[in-house]
Order: sequence, then structure tokens, then C-alpha cells
Amino acid sequence: MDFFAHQDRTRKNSLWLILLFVIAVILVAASVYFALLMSLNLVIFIGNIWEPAAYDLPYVWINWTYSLIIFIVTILVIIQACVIKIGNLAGGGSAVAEKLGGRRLHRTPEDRQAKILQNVVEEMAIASGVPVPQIYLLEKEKGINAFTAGDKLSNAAVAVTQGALEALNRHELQGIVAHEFSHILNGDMRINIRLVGYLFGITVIGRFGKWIWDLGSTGRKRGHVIHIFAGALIAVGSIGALIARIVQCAVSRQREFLADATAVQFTRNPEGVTGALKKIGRSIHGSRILSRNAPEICHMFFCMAIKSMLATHPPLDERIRRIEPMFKGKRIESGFLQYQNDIPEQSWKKFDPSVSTMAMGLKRSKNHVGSPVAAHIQYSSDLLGKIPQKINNELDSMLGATAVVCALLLDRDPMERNNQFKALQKYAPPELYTHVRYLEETVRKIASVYYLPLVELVIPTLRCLSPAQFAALKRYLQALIEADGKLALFEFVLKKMITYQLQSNYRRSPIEQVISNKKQLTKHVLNLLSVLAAAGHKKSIEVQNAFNAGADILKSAGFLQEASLVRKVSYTLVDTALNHLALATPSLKRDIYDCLCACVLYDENVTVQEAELLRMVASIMDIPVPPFVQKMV
Amino acid sequence: MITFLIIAGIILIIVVVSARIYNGLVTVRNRFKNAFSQIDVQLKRRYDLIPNLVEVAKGYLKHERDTLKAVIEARNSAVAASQVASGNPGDPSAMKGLVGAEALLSNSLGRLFALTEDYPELKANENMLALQEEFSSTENRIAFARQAFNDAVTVYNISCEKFPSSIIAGMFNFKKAELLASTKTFEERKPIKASF
Repeated sequence: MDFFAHQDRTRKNSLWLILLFVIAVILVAASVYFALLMSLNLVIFIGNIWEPAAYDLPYVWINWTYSLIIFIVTILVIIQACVIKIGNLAGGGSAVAEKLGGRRLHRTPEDRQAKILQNVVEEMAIASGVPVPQIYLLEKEKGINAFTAGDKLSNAAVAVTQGALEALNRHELQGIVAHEFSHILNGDMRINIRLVGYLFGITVIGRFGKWIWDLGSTGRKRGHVIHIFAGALIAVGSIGALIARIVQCAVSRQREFLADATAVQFTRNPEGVTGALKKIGRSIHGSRILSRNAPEICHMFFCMAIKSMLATHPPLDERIRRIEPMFKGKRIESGFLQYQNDIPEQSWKKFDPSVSTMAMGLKRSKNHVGSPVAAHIQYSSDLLGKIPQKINNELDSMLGATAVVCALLLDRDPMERNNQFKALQKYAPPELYTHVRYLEETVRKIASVYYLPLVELVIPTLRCLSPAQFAALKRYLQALIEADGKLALFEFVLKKMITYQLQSNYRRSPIEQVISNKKQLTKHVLNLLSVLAAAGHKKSIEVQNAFNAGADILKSAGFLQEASLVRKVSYTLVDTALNHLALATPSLKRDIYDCLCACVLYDENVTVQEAELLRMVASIMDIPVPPFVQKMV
Repeated sequence: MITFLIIAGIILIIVVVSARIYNGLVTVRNRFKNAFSQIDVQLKRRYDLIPNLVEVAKGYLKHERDTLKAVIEARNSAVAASQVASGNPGDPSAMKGLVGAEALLSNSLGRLFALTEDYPELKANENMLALQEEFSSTENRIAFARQAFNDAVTVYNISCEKFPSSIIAGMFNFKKAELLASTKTFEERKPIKASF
């Protein structure tokens, strides 16, 4: 199953989940009604026995008007609770991480282990072709565990416990992070967050009941009446909680095996994942998470976070055996396990970004969308090592990150650059202007392969900009683009990508529009295809052929019968096209991506710029395309 | 019976709206606390530069021990103030304490840099030049991060003041936060040298 199939399956599962949820809510509302009824009758019953003279009330039976009202009220309560909860979590992964007591790790971390974690996460993000997630440390947790949260690729956060940071070596940290990344790439996060919201709704009745119980316990006279009522609510709530746990478990168990397998494929190092699992098995704290909010999201962790009858994760030894069938499953007393580093040394082609033909890499890459392999990690590790120190120093401060992003938009032509600087001086504060000038030389000298990874590295820092600063950043970028008389598609798409990845942070769109109608998308795809064909080829016959290659894919996918190259496509049209294509369903996106690949691949002469342009367009469509690696072993 | 239910419904709506407002306040408060940590990172960078600076200057400024000592002391008290502030961002006394300590540090640094004018060998020393460059860019980074922090604090304060949220804020003890004022540093008095 490829990335797009995973996304599709997740969408379908979400719909099933909603259906189940609706049924559950109706059941809960009905039980609340009956609980109320029974407790009222119980009170009357007790009253009748104790003081027969004073009370002699008839028992209450089903009354349809009242039941309807109570029904509606309960449903409203549950729905409101869900909305509040999902609203809470919609702040992206960082909101969830902070709720569990996570502390954001900055890019210049204090200690060695934190630095290793930082490097591991960055390598993996660049290898997958996604923006680097924000990294959180759960300082107070001694257990070994980790989780990811966030509902979009641009919105993700990875959290690791203090225990994990101290106990695991680099391979094992990489294994855990790879496992979490596979959740991100398989689209699990979205459904997980929704699940948390729904579960909260179902269990809110129980919480409400508990609150009422506590009220009754403050020693008031009619306390036992309140207790009976509250008890009924708690009983209903526990049933709801039980259903909730069952759903959580069902959803996550199978996923965990898949994520483990993907992680091993990713790192090509089974001992990373098994090592981490073994260390969890050995440790006193295991993978327990102490935070109060852990039970809600226990299905999102790497390993069992709470002691419970119902398991959200398969047992440790089963997970290890799936990867390492010879494992005996004995708890090892103490001392280090010997890790055999017998992974054969790969003979990597020396990292050379000046090589211009990437056709082979691109062809193979189509199979790698959303499923990177060890070759990609090696490549991104090399790339990270070769980033000039001057730029590296800037990546952890907001000013530096803004300056880097502005510098990436500077034109190669000195005259255009001058115009851009004039515009920047007009719109930007002096410290930003100075920083950009400081970085100008260095950025001009680096190869195009670095541009997209640099943006991916810089996104987590830019997410800290205040809304006013983000609006200002958009203005600077727009000014730079407009001042450039010879604007190339590359720069335009680069700016679009930066804005797109950041805006989910600032603009909360509650309901996501999805376009499943091919006809609506056709003209946008054609515009984009024409522009891409023209950008990559000089002679008009080549442009036409490249366009036809892409159009053929569209024809066979059923988008259209006839397609003609669009001559002059303005950047505004490109902008609109990208906006619409980002909303397409996963299977449509697959077809669109195939079409664009065919266009770029038409002649065997694929330049680095063309390839990176394709990756940037994919990024705007939320398709994680790994870097194109020359030699894949 | 119906009136009871209607009243219950109204209470329900109030509870839900209050929950939303409360969560909103918590979110906005977290945002400014996070924004402070960005400033903290850059402040730490600055504080780490100072011992290097003093080491380089010590060789040349053999008779200016007082100035150097003042710099080290100001740096240490600024480190302490920043730790207090990062434990409690937005707290008025912590913010004011930080601003005060930073002002003191800028003053003593200013005197040190002014001194280098009188010692041409020190002034031309490569390490010294590199350090001064680092200082000025760190100042800029701090300014940028401070703007983000102040933006976030302003949003939080407005939420605390506006009508429906002010009630919840009062009930749950959400106090107004203090902006981080800028200290007039040595660099701000001197035009920033743009080195191409």
C-alpha cells in the first residue's frame, strides 16, 4: 500500500469512526435517560419505605416529552465537549505535547543527548521530505516512551521522554523516531486526534457524574439523593469509558506492528527498534507515563503508557519477535546488550550536489512517496553535515530563520538583487536587512539541493513567529518577489511553499474542504502542467512533448479527453491552481503527482532544479517526497 | 418541569462557553510563555559570549581590572535575573528585574567597548572584532524574539481585559502579564555597521 492508499484508507476509517461515534452517543444518551429514571424511582422507592405517610408518590415511567428533552440535552453536552476537546487539540501537535508537560527543545540544545535527538529528527524529516516537526521533551517522565501529534504534516510535533533520552543510544532513538514518523506518514495522526475528541465526549458524562458526586459529598442533607443520581451517571460514564478504551485499542494495535515494520525499513537497522523495546522491558519504569492527561492519548504513544486491562499496544515480546524471530523473551538482568554493528558499509556515491542528472533517482522515487528508506537518511545526514556553519548558526533564532528564508529568494542576477535589496530596505526592519546582507554571499553559493531542506529545517523556528510577525514575513517575501524582474517559477513556488507550511499554524480552518470532483481540478492541473513543462525545457517542441507526456497520464486517469498546452500562465493562476490541488483527495493527488512526474521525466535530462521544483509542488500538496538520491542500494 | 429544563439548558450553555473561554486563555498564556523561551535562548548565547570577551580583553587591558570585574558581575546578575524570568515569564517583578539587570549589563559592556577605542591593538584584534560582530547580531536576534514575546503578551492581556473573558480571567486568577521593555544598548546608540 502506498502513501496515497494509506491516506485514503484513513479517510474511510474516519467516516466509520464517526458512524460508530454517533451510535455510541445515542446509546449513552439513552442510558442517561434510563439512569435518571431508575435513580428517580429508587429515591421514590426508598422514600415510600421510610416515610410512607409523607411520600406516596407513584413511580415515574417513560414520558416521551421529557425523554426527548433529556436526550437532546445529553447529546448537546457530549457534542459540545467533543468540540471543545478537538478545538483544544487543533492547536497542532505542540498543544498536545504541552498538555503533557513537554518542554520545547531548541535547535541549540544544552546537552549531548538532546543534540543527538535533534539531529535524528532533522535527518528523518529531510529524508521524508516533510518540514521538521517541533521537538518536545517530557522532562518529568522517567519511563521510555515517545509520541507524535498534529493533524497536518506542517503542524506536527514529536515528544520524547527524559527517560528515553537518557537510556537510549543513537540507533535506538532513531528507531523510536522512525516509528513515530511512520505514524505521521501513514496519516495516523489525524484520526488519532479525532478519536481523542470523540472519546472525551463519551466519557464526559462520567466526569460530570463524578463532579456531582463530589458536590453531594460535602455533607448536605439530601446528600444521598445526589449520590444516587451521581452514581447512575458514573455508571453510565464507565460504560462509555469502557467502550472508549475498546475503540482505542482496536484502532491502534494493528497500526503498531505496521509502524514498527516501517521503522525498520526506514532505518535498515532492526536493532534500533528492538533495542528500544528491550530497554523498555528492562527498565523499572518501563514505558509508563505519569502525566494526568496520558490516558486520553495513550493510543498515540510508542509503547503502553498506562497499566490497563485493555492493551493499546501489542505485548513487548511479540513486537520484538516480529522483527527478531530468535528473541527468547527473557528479561535480561543488568549490563549492556551487545549491539552488533554489522550493517555493511554502504558504498555511497560521494555527496555531490553539482551533478545534474537525476532521472534515475526520480523514477525510483515514485515508489518512495511517504516511505523513505535508509538511503534517504544517509543522504540527508550527509546534506545536514555540509550546510555551511554560517547558515547553520542562523537556523535557531527567529531573526536568523527569517533572514535565511529571505536570502533564498534573492535572484542570481546582481541587478535584480539590487532591486530586491531596495525593496527589502523599504519594508523590513534594519536588523533583518543587515542579516540578509550578511548571509547573501553564503546563500548564493550553495546548490539548489539545499533550498528545500533548509526551508524544512527552518519551519519549526518560524512557527514561533507571532501572527503580526508572520504577516510581516509574508509582506517581505511578496516584496522580494515583486522586485524581481526576472522571477523564476522556482522562487515563486519556494515562497508559496513557505507560506503554505506556516499558515496552518495561524489560520484555524475548522472543516477542511476536499475536492473529489475531477472536472473541478482539470483546468488547474493543466495550468500547472503547462508551467512545469515550460520551466524545464527550452525548445517549444520539447515543452509540447513534456506536456503531452503528463497529459497522457491525465487521460488514462480519466481527467479529460483532450488537453492543450496553456500558453501564458500568470503566477496568479499558478497560485490558484496550487491552492485547489492541495485540497484534492489522496487518489486524485496520486494521479496528479504521476502526471507531473511524467512531464519532468519526459527527457532523461532532469536537472536538480526541476527535481526540487517537483518536490516543492508536492510539498504544497502535502505529499511527502523524499530527496532524489543518485545511488540507491 | 419545563422551566427547570430550560434553566438547566441555560446553565449548560454558560458552562460550555466558559470552558471555551478558559481554554482560550490557557492557550494564549502558553503562547507567550513559549515566546519567552525564544528570548531566553538568545540571552544565554549572549551570556556565554561574555567570558570569552573578558578573556580576550584581559590580555590588553591589564590596568582596567575594575571595568572587567564590573562586566563579569553584571553578567552573573543578569544570568540570575534571566533564570528567575524564565521560571515565571510575564510576571511583572521578574520582567522588571530582567530589564534592570540587562540595562546594567549593557552599561558595563558599553564602558568596556568604549575603552577599546583607547587601545588600538585590542580594537584591531581579530577575536575582538568577531566577538563584537557576534554581540551585535545577538542583540538583533533578541530584539526580534522580544517583539514576538510582546505581541503574544499583548494578545493575552487583551483577552484578560475584554468583556466575557475578563470574568473567567478573574475567576481563575489569570493575571495580566508584563511586556519586556527594551534596554538601550550600546549597539542601539551606535549605528549598526553593515559588513558586506
